Amino acid sequence: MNFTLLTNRCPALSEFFQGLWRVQLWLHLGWRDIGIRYKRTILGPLWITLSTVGTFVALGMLYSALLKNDIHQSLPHLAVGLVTWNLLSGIISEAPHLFLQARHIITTLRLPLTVHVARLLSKHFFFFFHNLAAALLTLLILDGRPGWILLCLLLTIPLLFVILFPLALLLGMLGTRFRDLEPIIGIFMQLLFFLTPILWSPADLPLARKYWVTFNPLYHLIEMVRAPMLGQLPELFSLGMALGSMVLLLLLALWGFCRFKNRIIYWF
Amino acid sequence: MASIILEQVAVEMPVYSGTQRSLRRAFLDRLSNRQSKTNKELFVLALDQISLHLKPGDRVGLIGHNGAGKSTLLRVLGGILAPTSGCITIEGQISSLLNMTSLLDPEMTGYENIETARLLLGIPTTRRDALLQDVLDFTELGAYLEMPLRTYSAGMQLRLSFALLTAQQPEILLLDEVIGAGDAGFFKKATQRFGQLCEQTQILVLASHVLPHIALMCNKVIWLEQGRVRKTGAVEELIKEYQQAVHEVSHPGCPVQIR
Repeated sequence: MNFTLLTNRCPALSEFFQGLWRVQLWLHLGWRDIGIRYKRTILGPLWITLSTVGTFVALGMLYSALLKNDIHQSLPHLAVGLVTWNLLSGIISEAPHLFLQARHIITTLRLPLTVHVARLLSKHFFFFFHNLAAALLTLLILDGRPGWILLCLLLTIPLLFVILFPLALLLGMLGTRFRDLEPIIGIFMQLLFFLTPILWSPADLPLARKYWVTFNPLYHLIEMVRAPMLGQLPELFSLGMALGSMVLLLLLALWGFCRFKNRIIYWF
Repeated sequence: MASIILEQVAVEMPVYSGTQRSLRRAFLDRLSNRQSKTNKELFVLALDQISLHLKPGDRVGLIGHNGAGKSTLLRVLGGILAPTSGCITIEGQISSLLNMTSLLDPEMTGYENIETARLLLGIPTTRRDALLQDVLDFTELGAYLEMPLRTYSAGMQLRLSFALLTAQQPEILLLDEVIGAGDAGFFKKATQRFGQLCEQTQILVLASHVLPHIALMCNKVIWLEQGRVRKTGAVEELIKEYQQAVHEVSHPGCPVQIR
């Protein structure tokens, strides 16, 4: 069965992709969301980058002293880890609210609902690219030789998008129906920040306790960005976990969207 | 040829309370396998047994009390709300926008709002300049378009939203209470623009409380009451009947059901 035949049979499926297709719209809305928040500030969205840089520099210095690491090694690890964490946790914590935030659009204008998901992602990816540039600058100052492996990012960052998109869609639908989801996720993300190797490195764990990172999907997602930035290829296991969660989430999201997209407006 | 056919369309709006929405409730009820008292679902029958057949040339006015289902019906027609039961067949390109005001952002300038509206409506980049010129000509806002919308008077905001709302020419036009306030000059201009738009559109459905507008623009009236069609008919007699009924009953019942 070819693709158009499939989308004709399931209108929800075609809506899913139509929303993604309106690139100009969701980029514009995402960018505007940032603009509105930082309107009339001097630095604008750069405030976000500044606060991230401040955090990873201060924490990097503190933790290299605490764990008696070389700052030339621990700071890049922490900087890239934190920047990627901000992307993941920003999207995951805001996702349950994403349809509610757009309710004034959803109730007056017919628009593929996936536009709102892509809008949230584009906002956080804008921040992410700013922050990643700052992290890269820090790396250059400290050590100075980015390798060809950086080109890996051209594949792994889009992969992150494809993983986070269905995840945000699912959380968005669930969060509209079950309003408790947002605070629950808020609590979990706070906890996960400490459970995920950002301030610490998986190498610090004894071998028998590696399960703390093996079964943490967020660790593997962070590795998609951190490993290339630090000049290594992501481990095959991490890549497998990322691809696996991508397939799983995409299938779940497509099913959920086909089944419940018409109900979303009733849940407001 | 544009046409709209609705058969036995119903919209049941669930009314959720805090306890129902909670995951805890959902899980506990699953676990204990019982229906708790609080789990009775509240529904509002926003639309019930709506059957319509509209053809080109139809200019339909929707009238009825607040909460009679006018906006809900427009949302169903516009494909924003999928009905819970019934069947819809719509042929022809339909306007996807019911109201512009809620999409405008007070912090953004007039130009930025126009650009956002353009993208939301899916007007291609090649038509950007034409759209800008059109809005400029109609609103006469000039340099004000460079200012944030919150500095505009209500009348100026209305002019902008009306210009954007009527920027496209769909075959089926749906409108929810468009021409509200505004000075006499604007009203004249708006009616003129609106008249042009209506001439080119094949089917018009307009919901309004302003009966003179309906009388001016429509050739058919649907009177909704508590989610149902109370009466369909010619403009003048139905408006007269409606006005009489409004004086008699001032408190309609609420169509809430408990399951």
